[in-house]
Amino acid sequence: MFGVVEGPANRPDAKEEKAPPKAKPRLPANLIHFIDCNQGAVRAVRFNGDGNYCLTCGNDKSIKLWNPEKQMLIKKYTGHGYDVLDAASSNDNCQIASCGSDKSVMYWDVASGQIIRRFRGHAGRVNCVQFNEESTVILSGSVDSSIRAWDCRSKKGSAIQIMDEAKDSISALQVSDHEILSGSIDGKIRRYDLRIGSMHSDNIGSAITSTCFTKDGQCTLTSTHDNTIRLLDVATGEMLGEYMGHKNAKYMIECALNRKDDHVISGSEDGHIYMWDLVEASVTKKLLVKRNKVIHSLSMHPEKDVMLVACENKIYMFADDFYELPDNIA
Amino acid sequence: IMSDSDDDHPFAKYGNALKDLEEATSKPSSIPIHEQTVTDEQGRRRFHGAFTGGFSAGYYNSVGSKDGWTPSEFKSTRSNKTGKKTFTPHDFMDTEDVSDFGIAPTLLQAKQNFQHGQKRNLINERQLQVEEKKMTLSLGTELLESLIVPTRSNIGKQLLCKLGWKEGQGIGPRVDRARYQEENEDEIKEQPKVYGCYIPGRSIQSSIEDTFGQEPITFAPKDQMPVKIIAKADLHGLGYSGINPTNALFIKQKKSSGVEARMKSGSKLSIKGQAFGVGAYEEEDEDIYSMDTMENYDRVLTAEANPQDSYGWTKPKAIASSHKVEAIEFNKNEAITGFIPAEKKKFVERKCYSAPKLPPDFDCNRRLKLQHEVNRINEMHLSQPGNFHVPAAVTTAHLTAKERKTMLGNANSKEKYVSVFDFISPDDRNRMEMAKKKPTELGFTAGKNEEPEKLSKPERPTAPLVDPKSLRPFNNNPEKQRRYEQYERAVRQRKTDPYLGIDSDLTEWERNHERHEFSQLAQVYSHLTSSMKSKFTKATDEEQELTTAVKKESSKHVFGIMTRDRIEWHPDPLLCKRFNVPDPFPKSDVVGIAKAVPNFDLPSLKHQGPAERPILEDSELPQNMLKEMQKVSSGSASNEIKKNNDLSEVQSTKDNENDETAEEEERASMDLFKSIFAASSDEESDDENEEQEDDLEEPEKQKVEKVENLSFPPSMPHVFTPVNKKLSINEEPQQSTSDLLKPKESLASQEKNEEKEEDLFGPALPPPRKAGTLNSSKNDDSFSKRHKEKHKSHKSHKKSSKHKK
Repeated sequence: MFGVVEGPANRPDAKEEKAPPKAKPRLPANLIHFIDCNQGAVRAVRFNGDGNYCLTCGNDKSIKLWNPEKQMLIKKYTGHGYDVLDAASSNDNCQIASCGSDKSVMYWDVASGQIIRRFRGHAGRVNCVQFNEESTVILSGSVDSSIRAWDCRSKKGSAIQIMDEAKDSISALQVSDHEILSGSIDGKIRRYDLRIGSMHSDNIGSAITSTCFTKDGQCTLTSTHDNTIRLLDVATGEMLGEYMGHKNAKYMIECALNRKDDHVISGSEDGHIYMWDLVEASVTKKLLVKRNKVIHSLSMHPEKDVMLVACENKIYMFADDFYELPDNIA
Repeated sequence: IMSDSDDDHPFAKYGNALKDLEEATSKPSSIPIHEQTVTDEQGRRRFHGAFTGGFSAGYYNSVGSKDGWTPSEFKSTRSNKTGKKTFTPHDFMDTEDVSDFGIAPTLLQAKQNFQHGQKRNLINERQLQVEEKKMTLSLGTELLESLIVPTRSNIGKQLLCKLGWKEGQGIGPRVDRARYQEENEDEIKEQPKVYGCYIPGRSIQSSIEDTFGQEPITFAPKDQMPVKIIAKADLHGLGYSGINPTNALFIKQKKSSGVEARMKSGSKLSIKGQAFGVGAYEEEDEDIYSMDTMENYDRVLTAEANPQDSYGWTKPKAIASSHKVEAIEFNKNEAITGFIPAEKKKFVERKCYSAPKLPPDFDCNRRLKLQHEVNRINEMHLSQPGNFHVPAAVTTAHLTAKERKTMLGNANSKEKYVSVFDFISPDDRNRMEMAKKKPTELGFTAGKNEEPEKLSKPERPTAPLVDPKSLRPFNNNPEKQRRYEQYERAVRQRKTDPYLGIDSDLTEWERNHERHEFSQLAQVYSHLTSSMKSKFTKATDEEQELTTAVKKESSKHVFGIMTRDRIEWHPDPLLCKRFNVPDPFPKSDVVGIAKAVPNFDLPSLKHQGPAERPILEDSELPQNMLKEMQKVSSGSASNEIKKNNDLSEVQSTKDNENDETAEEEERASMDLFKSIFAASSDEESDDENEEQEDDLEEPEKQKVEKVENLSFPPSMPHVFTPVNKKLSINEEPQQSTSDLLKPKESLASQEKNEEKEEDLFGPALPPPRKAGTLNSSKNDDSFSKRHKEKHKSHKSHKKSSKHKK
């Protein structure tokens, strides 16, 4: 804990004086173990809000809740009609939102495993689902090129709002306290700002597979089908960094930032996980998971340097050098 | 007998005569046995005769339905998969079976191990008596315990019985007479009545002694009432007992109204009871004359006024009054053979050790002090970056956000994250700042710069959902149109009752009617716009060109203003609420992006929906004009005219009834279909129109000129054209309305003249609000009179067509 180096202050003059002393970055580069999820292909893996559990979305229409550290299956949620494509946990971890090829978005009760609500309205496969910060709204992005906001609190089945500005299917969604960030196959990132009441769209040019905010909300990280990940400034839309080397031209590969936001991590179609230095844009780590298999989904622990990665029917857990498994397992 | 005398005597008779006793009693026997039926308490037949099934035959007796058992209903187990239905024998039983005398009575019954009510032993009986005296409102478990007795006696009792003990006897060695008498003194005092005479000074016992002679008789000792120790389970004070209902509720000390008298001798004679007339076998009524005096009530707080009557609510039951708990004591020598009397019970004393001696320098507040110390050190450590030790209120003003954050303790915990900008070199950052400031200076002169400016504007005037020119359903009624626009705005602002705020001088009924009308209309339009929006797209995408340019830019890895697009977007108010964000456009009625509405022809689609009526109603106004227009515009106007006529027909029916129903709507659409598909069936109407036109030639000439100015494309789809034209007229509302009003007036005046000419009888006609239609009907008549011969052929043609139908 004391080895962590403080980042430079926000003031520019403070930074000029001295460069921050380089320390070994803490990257989740060590494979701890893997779990065979036993639910066909794992479409997505997601940590829950506090990072103690994770959700896996399976090809067999089920969602599974795991304790990834103990490799323990806690509960299985069935009810989707086709494979589940994405899931998200509410901020209090009491509910799950999920979506799938059956065009429906589901709102689950974690403890009982019952479906609290089932939102229908999308005209096509639903690719991604997110809660808002207070977990009162579920946002879902679909192949029908619309984002729909569903109200968890009302029993009305209709969406609060439909954002159908995209020209092609929505592939990625992220929600901050007042912004909705979406990436679409039409090559545009659209950011809806509720506070200002405006929609910004940045044209990347190539189909977007994944997009996310940095932790300070000032930049967006976007991976596209031209084997590139780009870091864009939210305010101006300028590109701050470009990360290449991995392979992403066919599948929906997810990218992420590590806990300290100094590294970019992405899966790849060649079976590796790539990690770039954020500033230098050079590959610092390249982890082999399974040769020539697609690493499509990854999820970062919200507090620790732990990462979950989905490949085929398994999820792999990576952690940094300092990570220790809980006592009762070791 | 009576009947005879009635006739004879002229006495008045009151009341009804009683029924003959014989008649009433002989009734049941009058039914022959074979006709008597046995029914159960629900009145269902129970016995059906030996050959038809005997007892309980028939479906309603044993099974659920005529066909047999009622099949169990299908219930989806989707919601509760775990619940497994198990059947018990009771599920297949009738109500009779569950009743008291059925197979499985549902009465509360003691289990096999217990008997209830029958075998009370003596002790219990006596205990119960004691208990009843003390009984409180909360009838305890004691009563129940005394009622339900175990069938098997316990082992102690069994052993005692084997030793020769009998129920009702005390335990212990048998005692001789003298002792027995001592013990039973109080009981013996009540000596039985002796008839005849007995030797004075001698008790009964002595007489018994006599009879048994010298033989020593021992008696079993008196049975002891076991002391019942009840565990204290409540929070009342010691000795408290609740209200005794028997004492508290039935006040016994009522002053009787009995008669008191004094004999001459001085002895008191009192006659109790209510009255003299109450016989010995009659039950006494309640003493209605008794006086309830205040003495009966506890008015004064006295110290133990009468301890027995304080019903126990507050006072501990007089401990002083002799409640001696007699311990059972035996002599050691008189132990039962085989038993050894227990030693006198000794309490095992608990050993108490003295507390350990504390060392002299022990400090009991050590932990607390340590904690304080730690806090102090932490504070010192934290205040280092600030480098001054001034009061916090002063320092915070000078601290940066970061420093404040560290002071607040974020630095203590794991450092969360740093801004990405921290990794960027200062040069780059400056460049970015530049870019933020003045985009135009950098050489970009894109047209989109206007849009951010637009954003900065406080509030756009609320734009209607669709092009206002194309959506004016009440064009002829500007007041109504204004109301409708208000209504529509309110709908888009998602008010719960959009009609509420609209001010008008209409009556209640009219308002209700209009509200209904508006709601329907708004629904249709919203549906249309939403469905149309998704179906149509611009043929030439302006963005296309832009995006190609943008693509070039992005391929050069230049992102920024060229690739950026900013559009005003209105979040749904509810979404803002859920996100805890203030609504950026609180007065806006647009949700999403205020798109340019695709310019489709709304009215042409109206015929699908229920909003057809209001439009039709309004279409009546330029109706005549339209006909002229059709004449002018195209040679092949027959179809169009037909359609128009249909519309006018619908119109006329509506005028007659003047209220809308769903049927009419349907009918209207039927006519529409006819106009489209049944090409040339109604020629009568055709003629009508011609006639009408003839009549109205004069005033319409002006209009024709007017219409001719509006140029229409000559070839238009037949079905939609008329409405289209109407709308295109509407595009110039100021002109057209003023122009249109004139001919209307003239028409009305003309009509009035006609009315004067023809002498009309009967009730006055309603005011000629809809001039055109009235005219048409009148023209019909006149036309038919004048041109009967002329149109015979037409009529026959029509008839034939009707036959076809």
